[in-house]
Amino acid sequence: MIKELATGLGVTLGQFFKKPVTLQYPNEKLVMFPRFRGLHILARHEDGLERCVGCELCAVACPADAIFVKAAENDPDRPSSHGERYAERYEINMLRCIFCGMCEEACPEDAIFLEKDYELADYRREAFIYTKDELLVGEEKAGYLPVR
Amino acid sequence: MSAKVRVTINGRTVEVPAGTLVTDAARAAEVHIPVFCSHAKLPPLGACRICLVEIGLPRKDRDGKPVLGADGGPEIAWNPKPQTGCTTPVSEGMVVATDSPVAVKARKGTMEFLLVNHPLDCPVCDEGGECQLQDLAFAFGADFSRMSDAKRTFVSENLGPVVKKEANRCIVCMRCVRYCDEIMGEDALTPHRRGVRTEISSFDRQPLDCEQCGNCVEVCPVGALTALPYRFKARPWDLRQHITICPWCSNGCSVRLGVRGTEILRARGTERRGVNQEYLCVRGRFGYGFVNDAARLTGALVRPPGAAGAGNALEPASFEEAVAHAAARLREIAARDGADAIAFLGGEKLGLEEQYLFQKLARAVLGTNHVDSRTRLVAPLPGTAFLKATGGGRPSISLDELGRTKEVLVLGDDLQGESPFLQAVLLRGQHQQGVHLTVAHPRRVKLARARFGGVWLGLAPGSELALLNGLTRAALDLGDPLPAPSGGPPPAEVAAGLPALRTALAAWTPERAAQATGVPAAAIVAAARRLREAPSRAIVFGRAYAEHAQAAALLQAVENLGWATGALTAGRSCVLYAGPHSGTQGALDMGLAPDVLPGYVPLADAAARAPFEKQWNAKLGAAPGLTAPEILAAAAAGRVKALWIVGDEWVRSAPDRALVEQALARAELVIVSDLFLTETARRAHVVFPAVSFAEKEGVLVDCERRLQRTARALAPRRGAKSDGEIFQAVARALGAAWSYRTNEDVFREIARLVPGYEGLSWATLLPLGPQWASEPARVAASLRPAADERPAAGEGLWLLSGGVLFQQGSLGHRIELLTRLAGAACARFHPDEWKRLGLTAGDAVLLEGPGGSLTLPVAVDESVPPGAVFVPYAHRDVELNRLGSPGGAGLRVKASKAGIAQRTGV
Ligand code: SF4
Ligand code: SF4
Ligand code: SF4
Ligand code: SF4
Ligand code: FES
Repeated sequence: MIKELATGLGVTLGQFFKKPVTLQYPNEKLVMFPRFRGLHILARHEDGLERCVGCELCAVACPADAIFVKAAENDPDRPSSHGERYAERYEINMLRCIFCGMCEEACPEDAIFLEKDYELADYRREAFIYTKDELLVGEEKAGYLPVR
Repeated sequence: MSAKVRVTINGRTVEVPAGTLVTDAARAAEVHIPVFCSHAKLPPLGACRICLVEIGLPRKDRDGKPVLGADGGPEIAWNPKPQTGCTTPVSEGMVVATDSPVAVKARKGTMEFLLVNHPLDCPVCDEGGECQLQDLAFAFGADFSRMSDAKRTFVSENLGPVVKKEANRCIVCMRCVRYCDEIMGEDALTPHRRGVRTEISSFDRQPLDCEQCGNCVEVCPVGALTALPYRFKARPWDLRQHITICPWCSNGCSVRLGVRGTEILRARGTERRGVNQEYLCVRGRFGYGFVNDAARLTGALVRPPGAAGAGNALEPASFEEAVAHAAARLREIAARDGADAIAFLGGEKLGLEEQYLFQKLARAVLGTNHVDSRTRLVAPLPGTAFLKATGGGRPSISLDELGRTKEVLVLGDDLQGESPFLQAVLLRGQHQQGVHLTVAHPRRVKLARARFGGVWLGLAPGSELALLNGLTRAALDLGDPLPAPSGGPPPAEVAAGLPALRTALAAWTPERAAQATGVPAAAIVAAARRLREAPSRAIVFGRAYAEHAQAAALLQAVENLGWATGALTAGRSCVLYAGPHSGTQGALDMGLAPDVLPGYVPLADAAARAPFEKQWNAKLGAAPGLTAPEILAAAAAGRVKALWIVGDEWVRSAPDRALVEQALARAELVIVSDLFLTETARRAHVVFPAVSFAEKEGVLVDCERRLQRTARALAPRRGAKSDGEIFQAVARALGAAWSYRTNEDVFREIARLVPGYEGLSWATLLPLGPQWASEPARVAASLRPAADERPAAGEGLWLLSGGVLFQQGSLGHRIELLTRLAGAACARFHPDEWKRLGLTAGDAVLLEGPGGSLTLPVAVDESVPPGAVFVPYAHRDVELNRLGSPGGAGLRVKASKAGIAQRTGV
């Protein structure tokens, strides 16, 4: 009886000397695993052009119907993407998204990825509709592809 | 009926007519055989090889008896190699396997071949998602490629404003080339070079100069040809697709509208539905833009009463206010001047139910019989005129059968502009079924081109009646009217009129007709002989005759010719009236004419009127009202004080511009319901915002009298009401107890009341409605001499006009692509006339008619006869009615050079 008690308390006391699991969010932030699925990004080629060609395969693959894409034809002098077609509008409704990653899997151009950002709370419903300028990575991240 | 044979496909046995292709038999057996190059409307070609199947026939012994196998069944001798199902006709006892190892391997190999040079650009290809190559590669192809060499590449090009060519994707099935040649009669596409280097393009590799119908795009099974107006607009899975009826002409093509959100993004054919299947003309395929036009009316407008004249402009009003205002003014005018001071015009673009309500509002609620949909008429015509000329409502043939009729006479219309699908039917028939065409038209229109092997009767303008009389006489010289297919004699009225007609036509010897028309006597006699002696024949006419000043005589003459040649009696024959609008036939059926009730019930017949009076709970006037041209004159003279004009740009469609302006200025109340603030609407006192064809459902009756359902593809534009709702609201404000919730309610009433429509319901009209017919005929036939000796109005050159393909009415003016394709409206002259007038390119010409003048740029055109000028009507830049109304044989205008080209003006 005493022995069991001691073992139990031993476990408890042992925890006192371990590093705490609790994170002091928002002062401290978690480093996510490589395959964590958070807010999407739209990636760029090395030359800075958008990878997305506006094919809408992500939109049709999405089981939550969260993605809206409207394609348009590139201006040959100032193209947005390689080839003729690009996404003029690209929107994801993060209230609908279930973070399944199907869009990423469907994309033939490796353009859409679910990245690590999980801080998605907001005050207005409209703010959850992420538009293309919010999703597209900056020019400085041209050529960046998340590690999986 | 040809003999039936039994074939077994994948173990399923079906019985099909001998001569059926294996692919079609498989469809009957519900076995899928993939195809690319094979097309229901094109002869077999066998270009793509995807339809390879294994075929076996019962083995025969020396006496021709089948050898029995061990199991007692016939022994099958399998062909050592797979065969193309789309080119192989079935035979008795044939066994087909699509799932045997040989067939599967063959298909897979073909697929690999087709993909050798096919780029992997599905993500950016507009066909993606509805591409047959994609689907079949997924279903039958390998999931990897063994090809590592570079693919052959071509430059992608725009072939004009409609067709985008990406030859890399082409699988050389030749559907586009064959369709354009055999059905469009344009022959605008051709393969260049051979084998793997084959590239489809125009002959000179320049932008296509063709009908721009986009059917090549439609039939292309891959994304090699795509439509520029739809380029990258959406993917097929974005679109809600609704099948409805095209609003652009009376042929009644089914069109599949693709809607994303609140916008129509494309229109396509329907593959296997409707009278047209995949076919659409340029208007049907690319003419939907007006539906989403920002300029559409979104609320009612009312001109406040009080100080007349300028200053009191149309002001926005709520729908209820506008209804109340319209009703109050109508009531006031009816009380003061009698119901006869009110007239209802237009309605050829409405659905059947709305047409019914329109005349019910006029007749039952307001008590006027001044109702006419035929606003372009120059001469008064009875409401039964067209039905009578086409056989009085006796069973007729379908457009499909028309394409198999042996001899077709086309009278007066350029079908390319007026009835594009009808033209395609005839061209396909000419190409594939041995249809012989005879085209009576002053201009050498497309159908009359030498390459279609027909005969062109290039009659002198204004001699239409002479030609018909000459033809009839020549036909009667060959014998009495033919008996009906049942063997019975032609109707008694026909026999009764025959002696008088023969006497009257005695003078119309071929020589005299030749002298009057300029067509050689031998050609007239030969045409009459062909019509009479061909195994089947058809006579087609359209609005050129309907809107002729001699229309009454011409329609009688057409009927005479119909009886004389057997077009109205014999089997597989017909006389067809292809009217100008999608609702032309429906409007006539629904009594939008001053002298008939729905179903061609004569107003004067008290007994026939009674059911309507009972149903409508109203006393109907027995005296016929005024026809459209009479209403025009009466309104201009101040006798008709209130006008309701529905869906009609009357300012442009009435035959005389000066008169219509006067009529609209004098009328105390003009109510217009339309989609846009048209020129007519600007002159109105109350304007109701109506909805377009895509926002309402109902029934349309096409030129073969086929009833077809239309579907709603879009919610109505905010603020706009369907015409039916507008009529009902006003009727209720006038005290009528109408309570139709939907158009289907209205149709039930029609089916109960209207002779010829008994027993029909919306449910019976899908997928393809019946052609209504009535035996005995709704209108009695007659054979009567047709003469009209009045001279043409005006002097100088004959004015020839007609619809053109790219512009048809005021809605077309709103569509950028169509106006761009139509180009500038030109007055077209024969080279001789051109020289005589001393014209040079870039000049303008002043045309002066009895009613006013027009200035137009000029063009040379070999197809216009000397002594005439051709001006398109329904073109944005031409207000033809400014020249004045035609009279007698037509209209003549004085032409003189007017310096540099400028836009239309007075
Ligand atoms: S992660 Fe899943 S639910 Fe979210 S947008 Fe992508 S496909 Fe849709
Ligand atoms: S993100 Fe990828 S799948 Fe989505 S539209 Fe762009 S290219 Fe297509
Ligand atoms: S658009 Fe029509 S007419 Fe022109 S090439 Fe294509 S099929 Fe032929
Ligand atoms: S362009 Fe299309 S329809 Fe024409 S041959 Fe090529 S694949 Fe066939
Ligand atoms: S479909 Fe039979 S060969 Fe093309």
